[in-house]
Order: sequence, then C-alpha cells, then structure tokens
Amino acid sequence: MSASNPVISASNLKKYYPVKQSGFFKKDILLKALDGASFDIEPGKTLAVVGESGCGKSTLARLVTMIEQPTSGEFDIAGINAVTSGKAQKRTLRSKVQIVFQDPYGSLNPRKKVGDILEEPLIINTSLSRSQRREKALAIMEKVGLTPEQYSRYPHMFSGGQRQRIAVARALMLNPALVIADEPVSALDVSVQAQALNLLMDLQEEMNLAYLFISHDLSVVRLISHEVMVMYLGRVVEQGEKNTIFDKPLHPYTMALLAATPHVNIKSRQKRIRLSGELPSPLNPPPGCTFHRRCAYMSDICRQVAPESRRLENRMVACHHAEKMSTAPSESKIQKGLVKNLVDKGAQDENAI
Amino acid sequence: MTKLVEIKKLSVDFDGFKAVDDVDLTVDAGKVVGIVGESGSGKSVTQLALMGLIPYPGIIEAERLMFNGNDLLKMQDKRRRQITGKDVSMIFQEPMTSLNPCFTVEYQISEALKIHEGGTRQQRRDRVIELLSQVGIPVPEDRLKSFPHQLSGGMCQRVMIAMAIACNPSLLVADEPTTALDVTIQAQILELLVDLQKKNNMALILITHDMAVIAETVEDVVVMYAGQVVEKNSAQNIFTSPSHPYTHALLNALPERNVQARRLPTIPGIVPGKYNRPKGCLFHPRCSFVQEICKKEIPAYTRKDKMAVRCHFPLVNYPS
Repeated sequence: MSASNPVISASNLKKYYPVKQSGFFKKDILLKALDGASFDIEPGKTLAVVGESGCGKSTLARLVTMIEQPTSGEFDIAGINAVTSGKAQKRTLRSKVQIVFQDPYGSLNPRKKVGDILEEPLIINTSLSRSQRREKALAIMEKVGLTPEQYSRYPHMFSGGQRQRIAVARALMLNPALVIADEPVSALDVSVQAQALNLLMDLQEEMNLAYLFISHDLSVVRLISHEVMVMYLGRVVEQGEKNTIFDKPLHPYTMALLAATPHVNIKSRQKRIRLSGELPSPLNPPPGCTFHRRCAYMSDICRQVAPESRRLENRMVACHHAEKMSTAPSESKIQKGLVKNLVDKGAQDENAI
Repeated sequence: MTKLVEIKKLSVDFDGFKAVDDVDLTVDAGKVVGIVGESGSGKSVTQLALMGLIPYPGIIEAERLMFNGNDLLKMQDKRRRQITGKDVSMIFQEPMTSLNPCFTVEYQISEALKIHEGGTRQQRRDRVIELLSQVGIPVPEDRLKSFPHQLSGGMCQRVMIAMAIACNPSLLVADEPTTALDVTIQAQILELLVDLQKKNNMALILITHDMAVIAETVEDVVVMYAGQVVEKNSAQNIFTSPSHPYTHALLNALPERNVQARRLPTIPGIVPGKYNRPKGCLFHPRCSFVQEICKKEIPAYTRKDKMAVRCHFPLVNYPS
C-alpha cells in the first residue's frame, strides 16, 4: 500500500469484549470481536469490508467512528492519532468521520423534519447562524438529489431510496474525509439500489471522499470498491486490490464466498463450493485457523496453529495453504478435496455451532 | 401435466388500494416457479391470497382460484383449513420471528402433524426427528427440546422448512426464504429446498427480490410490478432476452452486469403507491420506450407459446 497521505491508516486494531459467564466464581471470557485489522484508505478510494454476520465488520465501523475505544492497536485519521489524542482533538476528528447506516427507516428521527436532521451536526459542531445552516443544508440536499421543498418534510413522507439520500446528506454536512457506509444499499430494491450506488460514486468523485464500505453483497462490492478486505470471525483472512481478489482468490473462505454468490449471467456462474456448517461461536472459536472446520483444504497444521497474515501475490492472506491455491486452483481439485472432506467430518462440524 | 394451482384474474383490494391487480398464475405439479419483483409489487400478497391468509380489510376477487382441482373461492372455511398447512404450506422471510419463542422446536413442528395427521405422541416424535434430519440438522434428537433463540438464523430456517414439509405438501410457497441469511447459508438453504422439491416431488413457488437467486434456482419466472404480472417466461429466456421493458431495465440495473462500468443504468422514479397509480400501463412513467398509447390504455396480458407479457410494445430479441 502506498503512502500518499491516507485519510485513515489503522494498524492491528483489536477489540475484545468481556462476556460474563453464568456462575459466581467463573471468570469473564473475552469475545474477540475484532482480532487485528490493518489498513490504509486514501482520499477518493473505497475499501470494502466483506464477510458474514458476526465477523466483526460492524465492530470495525464502531472503532473507526470512535464510538468505542479499541482494546489495542492504533489508527490515525488525517495524520492525527485517534486513540491517544485528547478529548478536544477527538471531537474535531469525529466530525471527519461520518457514518451511513443500513436501515434508512430506523436511522432517521421520525419527529424531526429533514432540515432539522441535516442541521443538527452543524448546531453541535459549528457556530453558523440559522440562515447559514439552512443555506448549507439546502446545498447538500441539492447535491444528493433532493429538492428544496423537501426541506420541511418529515422522514415518513419519503421512500426508502430517498431516506437513504437524506442519511447520506446528513453524513456529508460536516465535510468529512471518510464516510463509513454500513450496508447502505442492502435494504433497498434493485432499481433504487442502483440509484443509491451511483450517488455514492458521484459524491466520491466530486468531494474526493474515502469510503469504508461494509457489505455482504459481493456484486455491489465488485462495482464500488478499490480494495477488498475479507473477514472471518474477527480476523482478516484476505486483503488486497479488488481485481486481484476477485480474479484469483487465494483463501479458501474467499473462494467459497465468491462461489456461493448467485449470478444472473450464466457464464459467470461458478461451481458451488459447499461450506458445511455455520460460523462457529466467537465465544468459543476453534483452535488454530478459525476456518478449519469448514475448510476443504484442512490439514493437521490448521488445527493447531493460527495462520499469520502474509504477503503473497500482491495481497495479504492468512492461510497455511495459500501457495497451493495459487499454483493450481482448478475446480476439479476443489471438488475432490471437498468430497473427501465432507465424508470425513460432515456431521461433527455442525455440532460446533 | 396436471395444473396444481390455477389463478385467473385475481385481485386483492385493501380499502381501495389494489395490492394485486388482475394476476394470472399457473403452477404445474412438481415444478419450480419463481416470482420476482420489488417491494410492494404484490408478490407476497398473491401467495397469501392462495393460502387464504389475507387479513381483514382485504377483499379477494378472482375469476378462478383453483388448487388441485378444488375451487378455493367456494370452499368452506373448515375444508380450506384442512388444505392449508397440509397440501399447501409456506415458509416466511424472517425465520427468527416466524417461530414462536415460547415453545420448543418439537412442539411447533408436531403441532402441524397433530392437527392434520394425528397419530400417537411417539409416532409424531419419530416423524419430527425424521424431518429434522431431512432438513440437515445434525443430531436431531438433541435439538427437539431447543427453543428458537438457541438456534442460529440458518438453523431456524431449517426448522421452518421442516415444519412446512411435515405433512408432505404438494405445494410449498417460500416467501423470501434466504433474504435474512448470509450468502454461504443462503446457498445451503436453496440447495436444501431444491433437493426436497425433487425428492418429495412437490411444486415450489419461490418468491424473492433477488434476480440472481431466481436465475440459479427456478425453471419458470414470473416478474411482478405494482401488483401486476408483467412477464412470464422460462428462466433461460428471461435473462437473455427479456420482453418487458421493466424486466430489461431491472436486469440492466444489476451491479453484476456492470462490473467494468463506472455508473449503473437506473430506472428513474419509484414504484407507484396507493395515491399515484398512473393511468394506462403502470410502468409507463418509468419506461424508456413509452408511447402515447401506453399512457391511456392498460395493455392486455398476452400469451405466446410458453411466455406471456403485459406490454403494448414487447421487446423482441432486445439484447440485455
């Protein structure tokens, strides 16, 4: 990753939550919601975070927006350390990072007019006068494709797509450098989803925004992102340029994820790599590689040693057998490995849920 | 081929708002049909009407509403309840909220068995265990006494499926069965549904908004828009040469088809609601091929061979 003044650069971010056990004398156990994530995002670029629910995507968003303190690790926003800096400095940093939430129905206050929703960040963070605030809100509304007469309407008068525009407008009120989009289009219909994605891409070009785009929809990620980070159970399993990852994934989980995504185009369809079982409980993750119970390439070392993230073919990958995938990732091999594996350990895996 | 479901000119009216308007649908025994459409297009309401689950202000009108040779319109409620849940059953979108949190998995599955099949308690328990293993739940004996909150989303959906196939239905309606699930689990559940469909030789109606899921799973596709069926065709044809401009636009808006493009083609405007239903063709304000006639006359639902389309100017061999 080059270092042309990234908007955010994080190194080894971790977040552990203590979880109370039942029983008076039992000690708390640590839930490793996020176990080491490092990344840089440059202005005008998008980093997509992909993974199933419970893999730590949203925890990452909470850390980067400074809603929560990381357990360990550092991150800089616009060159200023956001973990150790003081209260006042954090306040200014927070205005540089804004977030757009998944559900446009739940994230807007139904008792406030659009204008009030948009002006609230200005009231808190700036000393603009009432008329200046209004002017600014109207300018942003125009940018996201809302009309001035919608200024004094309530959220319930808007459709899902328009509400998401309001949410985006609210995020842009303070001229942020980084916008975190937490599944911004997954609640929208296909035709509206396309409009919202176009808006996000337009705004990025116009305002040189950096996005941290959290999504589980790989076709959306493929369209909007520049870099991709695939997560599994709190760990980053593969990270690199979009095309590198999509064209030739090296981690078995990334492969399975790509193959599980349904396609409309017949020629882009892949043979399903069936993952048996579900995500194990993060309270009691399997030893060694956390993915080994569902992996078709599992060997003894995977059960014992957690793989370190290492550089291989222009990306970071955390797998003991990544070289094998890179030399001959033929489909027949995947299938063969899979069949053997399913017979070996079909049922016992699913108990681990 | 026997027609299992035959719906003709079905309308469902909620206080003056037609959620479903003039819908024709036939499903042959043992077939997989997909219904695709955006939210508010009436895809779920059509199926609820078939199940007899339309809530109070809704009024069902139809020329024909047949299931397996029985006329559902004239049938008495008591007789109808014997069919619902036995011969037709349904899976809903949110597995976590569709299950009753107060009862165990065993109780909820055997409830359907108790009502429709009878049998002793032991027989029912054996059947529940058999069903749970059929839907791929490991060690089903241990799961009998589980409550829904103890299961993951994917497992809950499996329990829902077990409940739906408990009485060997001839038609299973799956309403967005995978929307709330992750991709890898989605793949598992879809595979399971298709397997069961083949094994039990039942018909499956898969309702979803996800074009890709439809493309990979079903044989026939029905596209709905604002309460109407706009196009019906085989899955092969509909994705290569759609006839209705709406289908065409919808396919073009998919991110998957625009990987190299910087912008997605969009459909301007939104789905019409209760107060802004246009005259003539319902899609005309958003259609890029609109003509004068589209604004005045409602196009008829015309059949040609195996496909059908509701458009004045259907696209012929228009590349998508």
